[in-house]
Amino acid sequence: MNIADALPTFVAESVELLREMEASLLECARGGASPEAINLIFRSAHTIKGSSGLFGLEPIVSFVHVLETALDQVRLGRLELSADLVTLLLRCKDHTEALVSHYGGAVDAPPDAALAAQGTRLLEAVHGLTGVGAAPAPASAATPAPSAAGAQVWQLEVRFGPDVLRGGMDPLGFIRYLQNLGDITRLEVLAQQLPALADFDPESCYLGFDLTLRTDADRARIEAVFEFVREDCTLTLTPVAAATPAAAPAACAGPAGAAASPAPARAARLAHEAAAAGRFLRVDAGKLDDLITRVGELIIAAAGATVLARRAKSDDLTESMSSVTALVEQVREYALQLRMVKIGGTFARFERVVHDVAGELGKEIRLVIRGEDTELDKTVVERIGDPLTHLVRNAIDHGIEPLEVRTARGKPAAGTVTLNAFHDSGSIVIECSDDGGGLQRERILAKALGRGLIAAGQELSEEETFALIFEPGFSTADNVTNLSGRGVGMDVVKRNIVALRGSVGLASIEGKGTTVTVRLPLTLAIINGFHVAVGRSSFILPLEAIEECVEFFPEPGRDIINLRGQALPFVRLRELLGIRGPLKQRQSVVVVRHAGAHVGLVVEELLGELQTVIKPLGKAFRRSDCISGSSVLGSGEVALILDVAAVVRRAASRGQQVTELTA
Amino acid sequence: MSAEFDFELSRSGDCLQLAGAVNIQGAAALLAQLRALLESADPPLALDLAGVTEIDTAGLQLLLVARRTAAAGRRPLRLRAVSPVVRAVLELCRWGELPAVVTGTAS
Repeated sequence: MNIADALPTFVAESVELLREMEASLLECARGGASPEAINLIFRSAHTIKGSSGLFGLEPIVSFVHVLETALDQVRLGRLELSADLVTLLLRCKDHTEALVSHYGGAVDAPPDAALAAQGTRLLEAVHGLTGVGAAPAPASAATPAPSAAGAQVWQLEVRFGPDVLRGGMDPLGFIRYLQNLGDITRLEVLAQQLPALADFDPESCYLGFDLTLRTDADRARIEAVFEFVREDCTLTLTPVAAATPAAAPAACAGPAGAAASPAPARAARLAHEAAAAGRFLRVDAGKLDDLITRVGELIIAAAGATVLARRAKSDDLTESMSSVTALVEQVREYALQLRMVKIGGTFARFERVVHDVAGELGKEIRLVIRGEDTELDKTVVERIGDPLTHLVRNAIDHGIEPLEVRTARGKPAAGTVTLNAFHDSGSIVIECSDDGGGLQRERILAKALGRGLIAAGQELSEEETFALIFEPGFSTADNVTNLSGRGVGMDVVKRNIVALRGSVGLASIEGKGTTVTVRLPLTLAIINGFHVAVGRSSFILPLEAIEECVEFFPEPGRDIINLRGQALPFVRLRELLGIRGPLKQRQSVVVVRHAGAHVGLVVEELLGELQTVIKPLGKAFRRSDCISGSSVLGSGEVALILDVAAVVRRAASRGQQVTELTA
Repeated sequence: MSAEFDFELSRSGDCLQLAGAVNIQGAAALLAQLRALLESADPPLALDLAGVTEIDTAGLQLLLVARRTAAAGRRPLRLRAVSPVVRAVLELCRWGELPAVVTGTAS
């Protein structure tokens, strides 16, 4: 197998490990420097170094080696994991990630000067803070230069932990591999630990080895042999004396990469890991997207066949089509499920954002995460990162008050930013709240007036006032006040969210805090729809938004209907969308719900449920804000998908004008 | 005899024949069988490793314990024949023969 083929896996695994490392570092930063967390950080660094070695990525190996050494000191309690060290380690983690992704593109290209310089600076900082890693000089420089000075003799004392065999490692394999580095001139097996037969555990390791190795490999290369058992082995390496060049030459003619480890051990480790990791499979996201597209086509084709079967009036065919349809539905469910990911991973990234921003601003911030198990489509998850980051930064920067203000208000010194996620009628709702100063309504109004966003004397509800923040042009440069900075880039946030068929809202109590609510569809690919018709046009409403359907009995002169004693505002789709043609006798009201508000949509035909693949709208339709997409029905007919959020908004704004047309 | 593991232990007269893979996978089963034989009234006196195709640290330890137990019971288990893989391990460990008693001093 070509080693380059394994590179993407290496990159993916390393990124994952780095993410774990980051999470644990942040845990430590919050004061939870548990031995487990420190161990996890160490192991992540250790594994990355090991696998980078397998690919011969020397710059990563030497960089991470220093980190690892520092972390080892922390682990052994010789070095305190201070806040400064955590921050520095986080930056080192970022640098490692940059290196990893650099090599993900090309193994052979050395990192560019900027990246290399950054690495050197970080290593210097680590050295300054911990004394670990003699600045940029690599370990090999400390020992006699390889081969030039001839073979060097080393004393090795290798002790293995009892669990090394159970971990899938074979100590003999490592010793055997040492022969590839040079000549083992003396070896002693230490077996004093071997118990009597009755107490002997065949899966525990009792053996140790003392040996003398003559090699031209440097310390790092000898240590690298034991890379994969570092957890389970102690190695004492002492140089004895430089051997005369006349001594027997080292056995290895062509060493297999500086940090390559014994193949048998690697194989054993992989076999061991395979057993544990067998439940998961890495799949290219592109393949999943293709699968979902195909499933979409399948749904359309199946719907078409169902229509034909009905038309053919063949019971057998109809029956068999209905079981096909049921299966297709299940396939669709599963296919979409494959792409569903928990939002927790995205949320966890904000630990870092909070840590960094709070550090920058000198504020003490606590991040509370709720609903991390809430699932949503991968394509949505990928695109909410930026808007959410913006919201979280804003909350810390402009939401949470300075310490003096908080103290004066009797609030805890540490500000709290909360991220919460939950499902609500076919949408995922993500809330970003802070317990800061809240928005000041008058100041927003004053600002909006100054920017010409509203007219003087215009009466705005609280909701409308807050919505101004999301208007383009509201942003201001003077970030001095609590209010002004709030608007920075909020229009961009809104645009990004709207592009995902989502909506954003804001609630705030002055002095108490602000909550920004982002509502997004669970998936962008397929919707469960309800098919209605107005005139000769077909429309699809997202099924999740529909509460019920009732017959329409207009009450002349009123823009609301009486729904079991409750007043329900309604809107006629015919008017809203400007549809002409003869009006049918009977009309129905579809009651939809969006963000807690109920609205009735008057339609002329109820055609039933269907699932449909969303096709994006062409440019011509972009301006029609009540339509979110289109879909091809089984019959080949095109139906427009209604954007319930927009329709509800429109209904609310033009409620009064509807009355006079009702007759 | 074990169908689940890759080793095969048989006895002919006073000689034990061990063949196949003597490694961690079968270590527990092999230990149980060896122990039964060694603790029986009529323990074997020789060990034939000519058929061993694979040996790891776990296998080596197991043989060391067996030899030491036999020696302690004054019915030493002599090594009769070794396969090339066993010989390689013995050479690596600088042993001319599988030692009955291993001692080592930390240097």
